[in-house]
Amino acid sequence: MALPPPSFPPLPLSGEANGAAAADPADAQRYLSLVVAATDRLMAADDPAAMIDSLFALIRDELRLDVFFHFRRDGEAIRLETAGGLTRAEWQAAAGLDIGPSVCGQAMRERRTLHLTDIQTSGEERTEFVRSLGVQVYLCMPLLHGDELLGTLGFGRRAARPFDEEERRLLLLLCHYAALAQHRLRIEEALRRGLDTQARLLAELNHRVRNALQVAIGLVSHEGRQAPDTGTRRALMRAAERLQVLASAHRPLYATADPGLVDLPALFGDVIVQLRGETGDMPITVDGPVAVSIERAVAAALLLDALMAQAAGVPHIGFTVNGAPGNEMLRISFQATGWGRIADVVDRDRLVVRLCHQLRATLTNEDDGCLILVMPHDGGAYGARSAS
Amino acid sequence: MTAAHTGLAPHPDEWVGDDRDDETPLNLLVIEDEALVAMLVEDALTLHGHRVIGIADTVSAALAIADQERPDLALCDVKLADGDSGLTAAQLLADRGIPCIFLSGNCPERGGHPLVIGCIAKPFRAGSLGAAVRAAHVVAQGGRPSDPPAALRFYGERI
Repeated sequence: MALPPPSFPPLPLSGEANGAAAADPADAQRYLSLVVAATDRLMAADDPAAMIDSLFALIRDELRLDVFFHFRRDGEAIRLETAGGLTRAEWQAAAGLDIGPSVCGQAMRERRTLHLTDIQTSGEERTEFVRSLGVQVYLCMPLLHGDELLGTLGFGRRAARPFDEEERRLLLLLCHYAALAQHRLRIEEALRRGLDTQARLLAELNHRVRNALQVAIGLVSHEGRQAPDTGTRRALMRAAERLQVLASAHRPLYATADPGLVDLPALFGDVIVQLRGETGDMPITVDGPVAVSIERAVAAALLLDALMAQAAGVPHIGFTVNGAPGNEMLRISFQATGWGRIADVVDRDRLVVRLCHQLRATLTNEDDGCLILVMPHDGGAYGARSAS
Repeated sequence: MTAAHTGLAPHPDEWVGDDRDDETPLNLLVIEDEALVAMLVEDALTLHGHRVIGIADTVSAALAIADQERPDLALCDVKLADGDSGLTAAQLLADRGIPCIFLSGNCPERGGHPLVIGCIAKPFRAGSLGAAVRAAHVVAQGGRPSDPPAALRFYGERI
């Protein structure tokens, strides 16, 4: 998500007391250095509270700050996110503060900076808490991102010297950067949560697809075992085998770094293991990664299953990718006795014809012992990507 | 001229009372990119006495068959081969006066055209397809189906 460009707070400030401007070039140079250092910290921060603590540590000496408070808006609630310069008891008192009548509550409601001086001689209710801390001068600014109120930042001095115009300009600028940084952190957190949710959903989907396919395999197998005649039993067991092929195609899908892609040679090996119980070295050679979409992987695995039903021996399978990038063709050769003859019978097999159409594949034979399958390599869409 | 030919399928509130269900076989176009699913749909419809006049897996293939064969209704997956969209296929067929129903794992919220009658969510019971296409065809003709299967969700869109 793109962050809006920073809009700098207008000056002069809307305060209730104004100090004299300090236009000392040395001050300006130091403040500029502070802004640079603070920006680095804010942009690199990964924790909202630590980010403000770090900012306070950076500027407290230069600006002679004694205390600070950062109240964060959390829905309708206002919470003390962090504070500095307080004893444990003062911190606890600040955390339990009813912020509504306080200076920070007013800054939030009115969405403007408040600069209060001579607090110790004032009897105002809104400064009651900071007065109890011995604070004499207090600057409270709303943390805004666009129209959204994120919280407040308040800085107090026990000394009587008000914040001058340059100091207030600096603090407002830092406050603005802090709001931007907090917004960034919130976006990052939302993205992390979104990714976590996606991962959980993928895992759940994985479980459900596998489970559903396993239930289906079990159901069809059960019916097959119960079938009264051999023909029905054979047909149902064949259906269960095909469901197993489907399940095999989905199994590697969730293990890939790129969801949606399946390592086709590995899948073919898996199908052969399941159909023929071969567990030794797979007779498969590949000249590079061959990752295809799940839809094509399922169709190719079912095609392999259908072809193997036509021939007795397990073939040696070779994968080769040819053609210009974006227009690659995948050539798969099946070599074993009798495999070349399959090309003559596949036109009569409705499932093979439909699967070849789906894959945009052609089946030819070079000789009696070699069947060649040629198909677009996912139109080039996934050809250059590895499944793992 | 039938409602399908005018492209004016009625809203369910406007279905007329006469039941136009009959047993005349329908000529159907199946638009589906998964070979196994296409075969399942074809077999189920054929078992129910209908005729599948073609199976297409892209928009252009669907239009080519439709222009030549003029099917009574098309059953259309949402995701087709070569990156094509079933929504486009259904829209173009509806523009030609051919009613459609979707067969999809993610049924679109709307049909986008009065002749895009409804959607059957996958996975579906193959046995419900025959009654579903019959009901959708009745609606496309301006009639009221006597017992539409629950699996078919009607869009009931007006112009």
